[in-house]
Amino acid sequence: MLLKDEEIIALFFDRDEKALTETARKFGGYLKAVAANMTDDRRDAEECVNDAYLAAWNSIPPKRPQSLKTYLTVLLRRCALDVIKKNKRARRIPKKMFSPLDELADLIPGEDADSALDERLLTDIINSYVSSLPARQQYIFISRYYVNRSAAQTAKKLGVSKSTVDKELVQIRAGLKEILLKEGYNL
Amino acid sequence: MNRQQKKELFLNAVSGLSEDNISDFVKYEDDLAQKPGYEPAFMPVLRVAGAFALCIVIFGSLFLGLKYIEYKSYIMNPQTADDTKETEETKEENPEPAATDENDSHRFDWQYDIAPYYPEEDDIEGDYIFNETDINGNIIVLKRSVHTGECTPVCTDPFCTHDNPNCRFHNSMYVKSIGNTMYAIKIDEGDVDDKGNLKNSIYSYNVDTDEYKTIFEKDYPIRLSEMRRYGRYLYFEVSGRDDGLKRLDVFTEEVISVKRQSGYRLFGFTDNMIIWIPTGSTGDDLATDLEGNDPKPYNPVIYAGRLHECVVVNNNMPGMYISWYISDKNGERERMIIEKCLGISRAKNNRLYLGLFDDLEKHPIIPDKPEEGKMKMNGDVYILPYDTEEARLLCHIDNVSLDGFYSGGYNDLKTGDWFGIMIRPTQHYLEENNLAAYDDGIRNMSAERWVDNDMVIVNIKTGEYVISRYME
Repeated sequence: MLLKDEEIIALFFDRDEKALTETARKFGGYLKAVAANMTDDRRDAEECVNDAYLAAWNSIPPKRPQSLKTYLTVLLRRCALDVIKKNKRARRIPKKMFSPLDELADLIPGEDADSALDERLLTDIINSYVSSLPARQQYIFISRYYVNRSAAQTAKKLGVSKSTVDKELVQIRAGLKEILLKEGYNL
Repeated sequence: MNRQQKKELFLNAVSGLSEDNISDFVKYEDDLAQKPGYEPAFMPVLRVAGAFALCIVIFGSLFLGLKYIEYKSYIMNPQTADDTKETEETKEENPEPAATDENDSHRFDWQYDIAPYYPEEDDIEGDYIFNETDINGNIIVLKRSVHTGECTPVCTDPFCTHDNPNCRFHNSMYVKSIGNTMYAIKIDEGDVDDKGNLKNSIYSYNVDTDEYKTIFEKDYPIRLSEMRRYGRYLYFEVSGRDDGLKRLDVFTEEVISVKRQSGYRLFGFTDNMIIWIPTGSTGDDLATDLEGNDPKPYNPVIYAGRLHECVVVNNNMPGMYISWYISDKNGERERMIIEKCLGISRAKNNRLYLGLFDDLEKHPIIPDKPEEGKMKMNGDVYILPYDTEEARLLCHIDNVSLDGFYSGGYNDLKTGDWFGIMIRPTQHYLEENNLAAYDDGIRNMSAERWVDNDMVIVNIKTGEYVISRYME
């Protein structure tokens, strides 16, 4: 039987290596699937998942996550970004992570933008916007742009058609665009 | 800033999403997993047979041999500690539960608690089940007769191709129905303001009178989503101006704002109450009146004697399949509901399980190419009322066609005592615990093929059924 989050976290606190075994048992399939969406090959995906486990081991304690799955998702994303940086240094351009970002890049028109675009401000705007979305649309946004699933994969999770998700994404992006324009992202 | 720089900007900004947002996402997905028909990517699911047996007919014709294996499905009676010694006969009727040794490939993996439920009331019965389906990237609203299974677009214009805004039903979402009147959100892509916002509206359409009516719209673009129905009321989210949770009375067209419960999201309805569930990881469910007032804690009903539902992956067969079992909380007293389950549905206060059988050793469920034909299968539908411990055979069905899996839209596949069962067996296989999909015979982790299986529509009172298929 799978352990509850609190029981696994207790193993982390006890520095019992069974914590990692149980984490892998409970979340391994999910993490592998998410990593596969974020990386371009299996090796990188495995590296991301292993890095996420290591990051969890190194941060718990003192961290005591409310939801282990949430925490691991965040760690995995960070590890995927590290893999991207490593690949860039090796002049390998990662495709999967950047592919959905084409849709977001269109929200900022103009090619002559200067460096005044503040990444932290954009993060705050996106955070605030995503928090304000209805639950399903919030789920669709994060599934598409954070977890990096295709619209078809997201549609399958929801049990709807891909077109339905595509249309919802159009609406979500339109809302984000409105806010970006208000904040002056209209260079 | 060039395009690549913009993408990097968004890459880092999106990576900075707060843990609260991610937590909401995780919780939403875990809740989805409790719903029938969910197929989690990280869980072992049905593996279609990998063995092919093709017979090539002399003189240039091919034929596939199709035969049925005896489908052995049984239900174990609960055994108590005081049961008498098993005889050979009773052993066959009540086989021992599968081993729980981790090293055993047929081990149980109790992943799911059967979600607590809220009793549903009887509803007005119509002649059709409505649903959206994706045809070549266009959403088409279909109606399926519960009497004949005939499936046709709701749009009756014989010259309409349903793929442009001239069709009254184009871009419909969240289809609901009361009797033979359907309701849906319509996205009017043609009406866009200078900020890129789209205009959404809600319409009703009566199949018998062909009356089409817009019952909710604004002069300015707004975004509508997550529409649900309870009795005569439609509940939906509005984003943009006047945003919030609204309730529309379909008979009077009165719209009111519904009071949200901070830290909760709307989950469902029962007994003239709204049920809210916490968005965090802890907390009790809440119930309010139908306008969101007077919140109080509410305890859902827990299934009698059944707290776990299990998906078993049997690695001993050629290929893998899903079985659905139930047990008590400790994993004891397992009872197999159905050995090879390819469809599951919630039907009022019951669950429906559809088991289909075929010679998995000899024939693929997925053809190498979609046009190579559809598998015909027979099967059984079992019904498990929530307030009992026993599943019973509801009906045996013949000649169900499978060649893909079914997309049902945001709607409820039901009318009165008629319920549609989504069949989702065929398009995926398991590769190292990740779901992958066939795409014209080539394994592709991200490509998915949307084709329609038959929908089985059953009456949970009488056991009658029809098979419904959309023919383009």
